[in-house]
Amino acid sequence: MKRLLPFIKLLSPHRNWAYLALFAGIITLITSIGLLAVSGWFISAAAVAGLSMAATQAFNLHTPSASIRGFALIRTLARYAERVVSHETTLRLLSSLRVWFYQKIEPQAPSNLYRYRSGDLLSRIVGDIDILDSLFVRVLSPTISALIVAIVLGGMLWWLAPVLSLVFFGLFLFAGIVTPISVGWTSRRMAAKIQKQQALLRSNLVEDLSGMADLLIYGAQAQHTRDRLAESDRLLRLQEKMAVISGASTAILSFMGGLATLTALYVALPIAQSGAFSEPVLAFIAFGVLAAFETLQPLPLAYQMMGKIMEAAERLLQVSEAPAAVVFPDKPAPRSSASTITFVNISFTYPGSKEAVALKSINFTIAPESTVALVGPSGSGKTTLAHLLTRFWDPDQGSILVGDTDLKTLNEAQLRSMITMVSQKGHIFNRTLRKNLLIAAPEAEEAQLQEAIEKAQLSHFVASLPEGLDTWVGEAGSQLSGGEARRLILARALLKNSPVWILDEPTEGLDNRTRRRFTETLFDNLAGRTGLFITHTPEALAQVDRVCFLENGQVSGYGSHKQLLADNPRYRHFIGSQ
Amino acid sequence: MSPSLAWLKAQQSNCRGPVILSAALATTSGFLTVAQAALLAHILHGAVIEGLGRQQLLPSFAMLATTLLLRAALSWGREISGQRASTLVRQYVREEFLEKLRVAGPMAVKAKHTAPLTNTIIERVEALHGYYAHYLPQRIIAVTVPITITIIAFYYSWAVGLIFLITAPLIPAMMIMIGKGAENLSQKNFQLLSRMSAHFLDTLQGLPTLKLFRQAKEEAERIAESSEEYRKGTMSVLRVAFLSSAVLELFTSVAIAMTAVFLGLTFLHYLDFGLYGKPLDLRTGLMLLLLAPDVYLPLRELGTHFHARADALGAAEELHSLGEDLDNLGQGQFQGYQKFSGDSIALELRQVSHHYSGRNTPALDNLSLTISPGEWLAIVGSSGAGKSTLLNLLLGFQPLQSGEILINGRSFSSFDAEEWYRQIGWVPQTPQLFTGSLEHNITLGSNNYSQEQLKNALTQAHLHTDNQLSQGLTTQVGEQGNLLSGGQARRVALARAFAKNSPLLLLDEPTAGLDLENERLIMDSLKRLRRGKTVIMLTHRLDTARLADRIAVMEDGRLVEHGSHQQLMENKAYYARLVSDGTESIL
Repeated sequence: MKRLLPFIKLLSPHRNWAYLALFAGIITLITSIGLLAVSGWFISAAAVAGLSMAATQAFNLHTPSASIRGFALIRTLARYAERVVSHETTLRLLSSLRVWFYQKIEPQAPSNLYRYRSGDLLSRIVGDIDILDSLFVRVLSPTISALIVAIVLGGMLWWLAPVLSLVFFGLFLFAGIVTPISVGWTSRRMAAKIQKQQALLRSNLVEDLSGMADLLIYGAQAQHTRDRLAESDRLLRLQEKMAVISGASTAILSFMGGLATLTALYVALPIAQSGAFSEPVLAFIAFGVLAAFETLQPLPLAYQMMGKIMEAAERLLQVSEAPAAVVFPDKPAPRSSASTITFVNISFTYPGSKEAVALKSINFTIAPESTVALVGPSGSGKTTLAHLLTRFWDPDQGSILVGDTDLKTLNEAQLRSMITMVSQKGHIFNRTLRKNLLIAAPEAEEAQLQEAIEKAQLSHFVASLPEGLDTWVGEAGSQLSGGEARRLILARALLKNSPVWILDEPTEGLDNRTRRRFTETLFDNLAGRTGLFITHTPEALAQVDRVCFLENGQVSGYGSHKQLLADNPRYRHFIGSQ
Repeated sequence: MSPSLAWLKAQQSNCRGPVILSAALATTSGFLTVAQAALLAHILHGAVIEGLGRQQLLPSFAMLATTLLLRAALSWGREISGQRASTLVRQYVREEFLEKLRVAGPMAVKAKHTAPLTNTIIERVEALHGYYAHYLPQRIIAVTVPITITIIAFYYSWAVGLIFLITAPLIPAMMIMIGKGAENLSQKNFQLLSRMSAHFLDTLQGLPTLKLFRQAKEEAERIAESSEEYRKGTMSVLRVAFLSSAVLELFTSVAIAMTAVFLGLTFLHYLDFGLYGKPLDLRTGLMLLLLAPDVYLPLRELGTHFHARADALGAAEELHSLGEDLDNLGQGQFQGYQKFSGDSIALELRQVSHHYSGRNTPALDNLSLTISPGEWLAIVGSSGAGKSTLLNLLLGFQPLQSGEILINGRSFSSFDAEEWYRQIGWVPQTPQLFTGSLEHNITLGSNNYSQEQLKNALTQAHLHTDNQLSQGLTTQVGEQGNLLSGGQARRVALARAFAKNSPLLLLDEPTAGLDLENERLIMDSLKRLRRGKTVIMLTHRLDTARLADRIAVMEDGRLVEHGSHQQLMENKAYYARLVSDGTESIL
């Protein structure tokens, strides 16, 4: 519960909306109960009065019939208001949640966030935030209003006869708290089983689908399909068991409502007949209690939701409370003009990783305005090394020097304006081409944008679009071809115009022809810059000044491409096997 | 009717029984509501008008309790049978789609991508649940219960009956109205919310990029702005959409109020109509009042199930279009039922061409090639030369568009698919491994292999000497084989082929991207595995290709030259040029 506090706090700027929604909700419930209870009392009293002429004439018709009509109207209006205002509250809460989470996670990015980006984890985070937005509308609001309504009706019953109030509260609490909690406890275990079974089915199905060719050729497809169907069947059976539990909870709830009515009536009967209150009030009691139990209806769902909300909150807090991996100094370092980049005795292990060190005693130099290729098998540490240069992480040992300045003494602005990264993983936002470019230079003018797309050889493509730079690029740039997407990333890098470029397999996944042409454009633009180029394509290797060959996190060769091919058999084999 | 709705309805035939049972239980429960109202009214009448004590009313109390219990039991049963209906449909749909996928084959799966397909078959099928479990039964109940109650009301008082009938002006019309409202509401609300989530997700995914461009801090404001925008948009939709349910709410309230006022005024003798001239007693009055909310309750509940319908419609749309796509992709390569005779395989391709739609150049261009029994043929060429297309045609994963493929002189399509696959041992570049033991990954679940055969396969594929696989056949390989390296995975595929011992061997880049040690092990195994078999090997590595009897060089979908390594070197043409390039590979 304490873990929910940060989120309840987020609600406080919107508390007036929340109070208004609560108020409207309570009015809805009270008028609903009032409508039925007063109607019941009214016709009972009228029936009694109708038996004698004198009583009929003395009967105050005006008040009850006016209040019945009033309740009917107010109930409708209050319900409408409650729905509108509670959605307003929810959406405002959602907006606060997002900004809160973003501000928490921004300082830790990208190092802590990097491991989430490929997987489903990020979308789970977004899902978690969406779940948390129902904290108010699904959990807090129905629980609080049910409680207040119970207190109002309980108070009235107390005034009539305290014992009635006790009977009502006893059964109300049993139905509203004991039942849902005990059902929730049983169903949580079942829900965990269901989740596990669904995950099993999913991972096996993924394997079967991606291995369909293997299964067909080895005659195992039919057997595997039968296995998946059996797993699906098991999943469905677990869900049926779950339905037995949740069906029971609904049934118990509706039974409790009737039982409470019956009990209240049974208890109230002799009290009324002893003259404590008039008999028609019995109808008020019966109808009132019956209607009051309706307020409990959303509670089982609220409790179920509560479980999910707690889990979501826990996950979000875990992500948002992680310490930042890298800290930048506030003050800028005095700049040295030389831009030789030197890796001095770098060693690095990923935090929390059980595997061997990612990088061991790396030493090499990138001369100013030259390009060094990082070559090596996957897992040899190429990208890790590049990420150390962007300070996504800091090395455990050794240091990176720019000229003779330690990289760590640069402040964030200095570092970011010095280095640009061009990679296949550069994110293309689901916005317009223009907005994607402006991320690199928010103040850039039209002429600068045109120059960048010209240099990236994208101007031809842009000119062919009816909406030009204002064309939407789709989710992750889905409206662009592979080559166009890379050129957009390149144009963005050109706009930033920094002296050092890191290129992380920027041509990965492109077909041969596109790759060759893109590499050509890349080298045209690398002139006059310092480059660290992760690659294994022959046309790139032919043009770089030096190659640094990494294996298992160590430098196992350094020199020109030709030289390494001639002298280093392992390098030759690696290039040949690609 | 939209195709998605038609699709949803078509699935109903699988669950008609449980849906009807669920509705019948709920309708019975509706009758018991009437009984419950009557009993409660009876007790109140006895106490208020006749002055009866608790003792005299005890039988009525007992009957009321029984009715309550029965209703609870019925509501429980209704939930269970609704769930049953949804179970039947979901299992049927999954079965149907797995079958469709099998027919459509691996190329279709690749085109549709594994992740979204899995999503469709699991999550989207789950999304059908509410429609069959709740919405369909409720739609029946929403008709039966209100009509029953209205008839009962008419029996006692035509005036009250008329109130019910007028305030629920033609129940179906009202249903359509709520339906539209609820559908609009849930669809628009859902659309807006999911767009907002997508935007936020996009920003989080791009955070490293924003950071590198020093835009990360500024983005917080943009998130707030866009959330605001979405909120305003959503609220303007919702304010209108909620009106329709408010109207329904108003009908219920007005019906109760009118009934109460009518009954009260009748008791007080201000009104004297609507009761067929009979005097009104409190028992009847209270019962009618209690029944008023129950006329509308099933309709209101139907409204709450509309989002389930919207969810199911969304899922149905996806399932329906995927089903059609798969039907179109599944060509049924093998029409025949011919069995195989003989224990060796000869292949002949006659003028085979293949075009992918949307490409200007053909993937295969009039390719003719003969492979004799027991021959080892290497096919070399750069990526895009048409090697994979050729392989997929031979596997029947892609339809033959033009030309002919003959196996032992007979047309390829005259064979039965399973019969053809029985002849093939396959070693792909990235073999799929499955969660489980090494044994399971070699047999893939088949019981046809003896322990001896399996152990032999393990030895032949150099898996027995591997330190990491010290537990032999029982070694667990992890999810998708993630505990094994690429070289080990390929040796597992080799072990499969050894165990199967089939006359044709198809190898797809068996040595690409491997370290020296693994490459040596695999080539050694291959030399033993190939004995007596026809082998087709795709490779772009010349040092691997030269081990073959004959090398076919492909370029742009055509066969440009073929012959032994020696012959091709002497030709001094395409192949010889590649070899003299200096690197060991055609890149």
